[in-house]
Amino acid sequence: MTRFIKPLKLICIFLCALLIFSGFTGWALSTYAPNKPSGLITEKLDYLRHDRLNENVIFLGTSQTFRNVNPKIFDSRAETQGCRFTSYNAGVPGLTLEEMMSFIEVLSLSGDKEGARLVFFTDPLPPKPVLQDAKSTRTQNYSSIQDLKYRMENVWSLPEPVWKRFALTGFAGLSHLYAFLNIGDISYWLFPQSYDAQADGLGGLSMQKGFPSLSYDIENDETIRKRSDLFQAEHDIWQKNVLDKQLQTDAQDISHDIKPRAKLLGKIAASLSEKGDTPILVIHPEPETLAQDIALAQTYASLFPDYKVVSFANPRLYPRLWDAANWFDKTHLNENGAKILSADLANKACAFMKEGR
Amino acid sequence: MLFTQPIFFLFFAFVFALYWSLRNLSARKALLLIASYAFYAAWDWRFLGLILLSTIVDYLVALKIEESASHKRKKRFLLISLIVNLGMLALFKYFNFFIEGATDLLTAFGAQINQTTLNIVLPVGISFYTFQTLSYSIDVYRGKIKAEKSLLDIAVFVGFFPQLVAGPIVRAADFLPQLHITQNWKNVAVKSCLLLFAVGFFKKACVSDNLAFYVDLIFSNPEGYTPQALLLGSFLYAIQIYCDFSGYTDMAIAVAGLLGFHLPKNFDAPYLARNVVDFWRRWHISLSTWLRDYLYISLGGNRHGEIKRYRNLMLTMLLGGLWHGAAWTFVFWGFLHGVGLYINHLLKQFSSVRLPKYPAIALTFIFVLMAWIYFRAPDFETASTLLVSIFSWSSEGQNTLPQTVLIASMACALIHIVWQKWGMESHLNSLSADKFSIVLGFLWMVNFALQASGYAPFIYFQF
Repeated sequence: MTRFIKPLKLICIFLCALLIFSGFTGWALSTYAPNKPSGLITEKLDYLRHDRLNENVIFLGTSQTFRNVNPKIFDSRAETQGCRFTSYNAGVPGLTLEEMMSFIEVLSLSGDKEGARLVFFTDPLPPKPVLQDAKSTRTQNYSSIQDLKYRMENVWSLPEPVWKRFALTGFAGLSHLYAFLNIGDISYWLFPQSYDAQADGLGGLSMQKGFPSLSYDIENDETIRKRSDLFQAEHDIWQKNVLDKQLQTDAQDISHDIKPRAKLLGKIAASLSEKGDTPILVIHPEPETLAQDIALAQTYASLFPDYKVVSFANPRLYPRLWDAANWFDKTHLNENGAKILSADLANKACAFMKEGR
Repeated sequence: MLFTQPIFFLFFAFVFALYWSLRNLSARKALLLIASYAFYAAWDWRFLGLILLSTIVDYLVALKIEESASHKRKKRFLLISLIVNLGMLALFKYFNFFIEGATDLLTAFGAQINQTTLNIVLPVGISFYTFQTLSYSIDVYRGKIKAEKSLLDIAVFVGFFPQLVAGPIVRAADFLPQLHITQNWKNVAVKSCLLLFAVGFFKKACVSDNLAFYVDLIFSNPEGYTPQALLLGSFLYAIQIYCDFSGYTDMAIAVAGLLGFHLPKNFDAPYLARNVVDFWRRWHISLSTWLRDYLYISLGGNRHGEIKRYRNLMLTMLLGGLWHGAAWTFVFWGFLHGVGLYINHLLKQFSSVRLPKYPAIALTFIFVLMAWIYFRAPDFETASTLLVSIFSWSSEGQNTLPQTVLIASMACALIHIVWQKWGMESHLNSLSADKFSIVLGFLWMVNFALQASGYAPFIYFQF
């Protein structure tokens, strides 16, 4: 056993030296070096960072917000109801809690707050349990201690088995270690031109008010095209086996406690509210998590009666959203589906406005 | 799987731990073989068959050569090895090149030919392992070494993962004896290996990969850049290819060293060479000595008078150029170096005047730099555009390269010279283990922070 002590001691010295030097370099870099751009999220944050932001409705959330909410339709439908809205889709695929909090931070500093701004938000996603994702620029840009706190809150409020939450914690730790080691940070600082800003396959190649043109993405983004093709091939079976069944059955019980998740959403709503915005939780239609979504909407509404919630997790109330013809893949609506949902959302928003008055 | 990827670190940690925990020599060799094939399969498992073919053929050929009493019979068996190994190379690396060449030639004579090329994928490292196995059979044929009785040993010799895909090209006489003894951890120069790996990683991931972007810009559109930028781009390529290849070799030597094996040095500060002959003693040493021992000498070397000597020299350089890639630009690069060597020999023969050290180094570097342009350029037109713009100091292009690139490349050159001059490696190796661990921690911090985004394959993999 003693023969291992010396090498172990040396490994410890090496690791300590590496961490100390990296910590010092990271601190120095945080003063001078900018964050690397990471596609859509950087683009949308930069847009919202504007001092004179005109929009009085912001849609914040994951890919469902990104693909399902068309601000143009929303604004025009609201106008027919007598509401003057100027909205922006700030949805970003895979948006995590720490990313959502950075949007909220940016929103608190931008725009005119005289008329309360409506901020529609969704349940953020947990970090992906993929090594590539843990190392991605996007993840690396959210690696402060505060981000770690958000990441842990996000993971440990999930209605998932404990082992899964531990695994996600491991990946979160890995991404923070990766960030702590400043991988590629000096390189980016010295040679920003050579930074490999690869297409992330999220789409959004052509956007209006933050809403992507799906047909343009299908034409120009291979990942999106493949997803669309795959869905088209399974379209009919999915309608029959999933959507039709959900139209006929009532919500089922879920095995995990949804309360911690609802509380987390309440926290997000509170931070928006504190900063002068009106938070509205949106539950998008998603067949795979329908039971959970229904429970989440109900729990949230009962825990936070002061905050509004719009839930599309109701096949009987929104049958057109449960028609496969209006879907692009198994989790997102297509352009037509987005029209329907955006119009419904505008009706709700207008009703809330009138209620508020 | 690249040496610079986290997956390789995991792979090696596993192999390393298992290797040293095994006591039995055969078990260790079997582990090395499995690890080597797994490493290669991570690139493309389909080409494992080629390595196996080359291994088995040369194993059997060597045994048969040794068994054979007559010289004629020995030669016949050697011919089998040559046909199989060079045939594999010809098919996978040069088939389209030869077909295109033949078609162009026949078309020039007025023949109407429908050109047929095959969509052949170049197996990674084929030029390296075929040369390695060939040298084994030739050495047995020449009576320099005995044929190896163990197929496992030959398989490990051919497939040894640290040097399988990009060298250095190891000689059987150097490597096989190392497989006959059980390596002892006490004999491993751990500090030296860890330092070499860190330095190799820096060269590849921090220098070469960062410069690659700017080099690609220059060589893909030379018309768009100013002469200063073109000259800088050529200079960057000289740094890139050196750091890429020598960085890989450093890591290969270090990885092998941590498993107790000694691989030959492949680079010795080549840009500090005082003439072209000296350059080839310092650049890709394992290839230049291979070409000398198995091609130049086989062609007759300098045994049949001056004219044949120069013919052999030129042929060796042309084929050396072709070895690097199936394109005429590589052949021309070899030709330029052949001419350089020729002038070098002539000057040595007929003039007693010797240039002082630094002008000689500068002149040699300029020659090597200009020749690299043909090596890197996708075609002669691009190379000519670059050279004409640089020498006439005029270009219609207005684009420049960022100042930081110039400063960083000068800093790299300076670090390299200081590292060599001050013998930094031996200084660091002489530190106590505790201090060395701290220095290594610092080096890895630098490596991580300066690592380029994405993982670029090693340039020499394509050769």
